Amino acid sequence: MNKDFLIEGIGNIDFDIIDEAENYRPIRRSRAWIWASASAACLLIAGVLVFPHLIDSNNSIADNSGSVQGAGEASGENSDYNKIDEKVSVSITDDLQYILKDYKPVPEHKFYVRVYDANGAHSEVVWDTCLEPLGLTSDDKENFLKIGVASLTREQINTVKSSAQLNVVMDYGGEVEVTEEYLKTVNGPLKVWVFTNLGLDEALVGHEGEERISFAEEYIDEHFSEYEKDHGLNREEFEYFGIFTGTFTAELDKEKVAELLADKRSASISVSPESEEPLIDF
Amino acid sequence: MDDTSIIELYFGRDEQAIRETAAKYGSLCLRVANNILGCREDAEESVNDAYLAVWNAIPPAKPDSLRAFVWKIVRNQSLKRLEYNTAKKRLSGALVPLSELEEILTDGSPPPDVSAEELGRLISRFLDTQSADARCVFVRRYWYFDNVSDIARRYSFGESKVKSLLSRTRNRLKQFLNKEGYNI
Repeated sequence: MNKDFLIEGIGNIDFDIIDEAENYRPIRRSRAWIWASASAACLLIAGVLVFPHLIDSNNSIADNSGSVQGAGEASGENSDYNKIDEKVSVSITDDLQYILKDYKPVPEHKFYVRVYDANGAHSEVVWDTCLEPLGLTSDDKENFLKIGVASLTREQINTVKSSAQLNVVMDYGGEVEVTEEYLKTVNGPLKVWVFTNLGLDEALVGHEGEERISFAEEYIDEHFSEYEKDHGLNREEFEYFGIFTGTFTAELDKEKVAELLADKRSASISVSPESEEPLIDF
Repeated sequence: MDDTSIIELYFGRDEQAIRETAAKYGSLCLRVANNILGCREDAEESVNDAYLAVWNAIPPAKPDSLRAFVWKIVRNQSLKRLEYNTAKKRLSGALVPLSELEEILTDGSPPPDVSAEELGRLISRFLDTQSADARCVFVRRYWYFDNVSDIARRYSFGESKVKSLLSRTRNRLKQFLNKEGYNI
């Protein structure tokens, strides 16, 4: 087929489709929401670095007073998610399911819930019908209405199980700053975390279930080249840490890490020393 | 004035029909033409040619949607002029999106009995299976010939997302057409 014929064919597509493109207004997530999402991911990573002692490999889900929200109902057919624990049977979104793969739960960890109405917006109505019955305080409400995020305890999350509107993220808390001085104290290879933030959040809108995972992997792989170009990263060295947060991990030489951190554009790169005992085994 | 009344003016051979058409759809027509030609002067000429073509076509044509009818003629007129400009090696606006479409092409030929209208229906069927984001971005790029940054701004997407959606949709369209027996 020649190009002219293809162009002519596109010129003959249904007018409804052409009209749709003229009037289409995608559901927008507020900048605050995006920042909240990015912050949650950063905190998660930072938390892994700062609070390794919280990770107790001997913990089991059954030992915790409140069940971790896991994957049973939502992804019962996915063997990876079922590694968490067969007893976990609360529906959550794929994002957390992926992060929780092989996760060892710790009581101190907090979970946050974002709730959206049918139009993709968080609103007072949603609060009233979904979150207020959980006994959240006025401070929670203010926070929720401001950035669409509320903090729930595990018990509260248990109560709202199976709500398709819930989007749960976990937050380890804490921050860490990696400096040149810090690097001087470290020997051997470093575990590097890269938070790519390549617009995945927006791109994932409309993708659900298993397709959401494959889409996210494909999307990130495709866009990782931007980081390769900017920072000399090699995609083959990196593994997915949290696919939906666009986060990767790799072990790199200390010199390479120093080089990466010297680049002002690498603000999203975090590191932790590689110990004999992994901080967290994903 | 509504479309039915404008079409009646065309049938009555009243030149007010062209003025009404221009008043109602002129701005978008000019935008599409300008996207394709990359030159305001050429775009205006192309749109004027399109109005004349509409005048000559109605009657006998009695389009269900005047807007679609006019847009399509503007697009075709502009692409024709683009071809002319390219042959004359004049700078053109839509060469980049057109070259992107070459990714979909192969050395094969379409079935001999396939018309552009049928191909349009097939592409419409394909687009119906895509997400609204992908569909609209594709149409903005290859029907309206908007540039990537304009699409990103219009839909509040990042440019990387727009590029990604376009690349994926082109690949899927190629697979779809091959599967449907269109050896392109």
